[in-house]
Amino acid sequence: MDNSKAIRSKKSIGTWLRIVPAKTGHLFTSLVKNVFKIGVQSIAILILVVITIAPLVYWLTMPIPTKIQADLMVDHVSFRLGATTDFRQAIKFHSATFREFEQVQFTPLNQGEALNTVHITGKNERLLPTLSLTTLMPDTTHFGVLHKLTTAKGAKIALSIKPGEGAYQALGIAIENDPNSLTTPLAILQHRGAFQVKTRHCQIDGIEYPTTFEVGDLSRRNPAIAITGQTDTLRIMLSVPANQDFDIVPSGLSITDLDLFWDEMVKGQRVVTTAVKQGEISYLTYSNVEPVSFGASKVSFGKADTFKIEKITYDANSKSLKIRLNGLAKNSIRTYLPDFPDNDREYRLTRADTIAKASKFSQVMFDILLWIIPIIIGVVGIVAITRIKLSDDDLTRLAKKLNKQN
Amino acid sequence: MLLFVNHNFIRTVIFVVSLFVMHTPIVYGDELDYQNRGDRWEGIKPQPVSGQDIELLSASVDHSENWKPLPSNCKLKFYLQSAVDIDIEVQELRPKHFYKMDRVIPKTTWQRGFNDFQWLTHDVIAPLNLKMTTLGIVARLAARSDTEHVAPVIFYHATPPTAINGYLFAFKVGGNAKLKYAIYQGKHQTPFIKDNLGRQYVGEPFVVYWDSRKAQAGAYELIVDGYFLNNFKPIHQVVHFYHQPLIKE
Repeated sequence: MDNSKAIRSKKSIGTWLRIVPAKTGHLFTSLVKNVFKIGVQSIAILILVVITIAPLVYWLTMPIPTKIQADLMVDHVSFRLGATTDFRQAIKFHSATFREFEQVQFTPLNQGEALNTVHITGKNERLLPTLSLTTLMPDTTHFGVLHKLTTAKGAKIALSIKPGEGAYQALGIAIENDPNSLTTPLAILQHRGAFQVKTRHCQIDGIEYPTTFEVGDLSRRNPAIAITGQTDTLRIMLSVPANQDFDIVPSGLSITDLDLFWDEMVKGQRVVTTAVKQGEISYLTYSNVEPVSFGASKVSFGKADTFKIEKITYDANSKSLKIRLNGLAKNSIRTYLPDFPDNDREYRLTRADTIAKASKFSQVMFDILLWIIPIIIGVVGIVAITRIKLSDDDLTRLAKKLNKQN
Repeated sequence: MLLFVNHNFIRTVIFVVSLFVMHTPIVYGDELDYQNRGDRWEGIKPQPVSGQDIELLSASVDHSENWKPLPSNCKLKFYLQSAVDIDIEVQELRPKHFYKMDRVIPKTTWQRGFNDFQWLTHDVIAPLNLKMTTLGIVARLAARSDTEHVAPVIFYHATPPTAINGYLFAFKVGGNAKLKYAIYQGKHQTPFIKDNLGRQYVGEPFVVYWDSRKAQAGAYELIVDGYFLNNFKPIHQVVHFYHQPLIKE
């Protein structure tokens, strides 16, 4: 009896030793299979949500054409005119220098009698002829006014401001005509008081003349000094009072290109200088969006034909040019530090920005929808998987039934 | 199915990579960039450097030719007193395209007497539509410094002059300055000619012209001096050159 009990207990232990690992293994395998199934299904749902949401997120976060106003403080700016323009801003100057001109003409007076009109031309453009006008009254802060500047559509205008002598700044105006343009640049000056004419490599009425001479006054019938540019260019340097603000361009100037840096060649190497000292971009249509300010940076506006220059002003405070631009930013507007070109920032708004900033209601609604939509898609995914599984189970049971019957 | 997908995937990857590799030279390589053209380096050269200084942009002989229509070749001729190495540099006086040509390799080494060099315009000059009269040329006998040793260059395309009647020296200052110049013959202490250049503005090139019709052949020295207006830092640029009035082939 004891033997059979021992044998039975040995058998049960042995069986137990065989069964338990098998059952544990089976449980473990089953657990792993289920975890795997859950994992795969979760990833499938996640992929489904991402695929469904991604186009929406992409659409919401893409920058969109944005109406902006840019206020910039610069030392140099160049732009291409969208239309033939007469600049009539009456810029006062203490002295003026002209280069790359075709002809300078004026009608001097001598003891009340008008003399013949004087025509001054450059001898040879290879000699880089120049003509300077300076007042003979040293205490006069300005003796002349750039009364009018005529430029053609497509002309590139470069404005620069640099320190001058004493209480003056040097305002540079360079005009580069479109090669197909028929309109040569023309500047009209008016003056008061006697002035000195200083020329280098010029000739007057086709003859040699003293390089420096004085003019007491100009004819009342023709009191202006007219400077005609060369077919493709004219360069003007005006010595302007440093402590007086003044406008330089007419309001609403249409442009096609805009450059906010300038290059020059120094000792055979190209020097690229960023012109923007500081700036601010405001979003005219979205008053809830805070304006964005930036310091000295490289600024790129892309193609600028959707912009207008509202004003360019000499600012006596900062001794810089202040530019205000308005327009629709269709292309990317970026700023970046000169030494870190890869670290740039885009200033156009996205649809998400515009929806979020439209009103409090739309902001809250937008936030809620951003959460609800993925949850709904996830739930739909789970339901779909469950239904497919149930259908599979039904099919399996049906197959078994049919087998039994057979 | 898996094999088919992999095969297609691999083919697609290879195709896309090939497109990128082929496309890169078209987008990023530029025929007008500064590069070796065989006998010279020429092109648009963008490299940043700056400084307040005076710079010699051109030392050339006064000779005018009509450059329209643009000829197929540009030619240079200059005189050397002895066979030495020369560094020729051509650039725009007022940069617009940032054109530069230098590191010239002559067909034979430079000789004592008149030397020639020519290059094609179709590589860079024609596509850029450069204004030939605004190019500055310097043939340096030594590296850039406050004292330049140059061989004034005749720049032409058709017929060089038979005699040299004048020279043009173009400079540029790195800040507003007041300048004057004088030309000395040999070791003479009294200038052959002198004049006031007045105020010159930063970045604006200016030309010193010397009418050499009455000058004898020999060594001359052009001195441009003055001071910068913002800090009164003195400026003193010397240019040594040899005046050879008659041109022989």
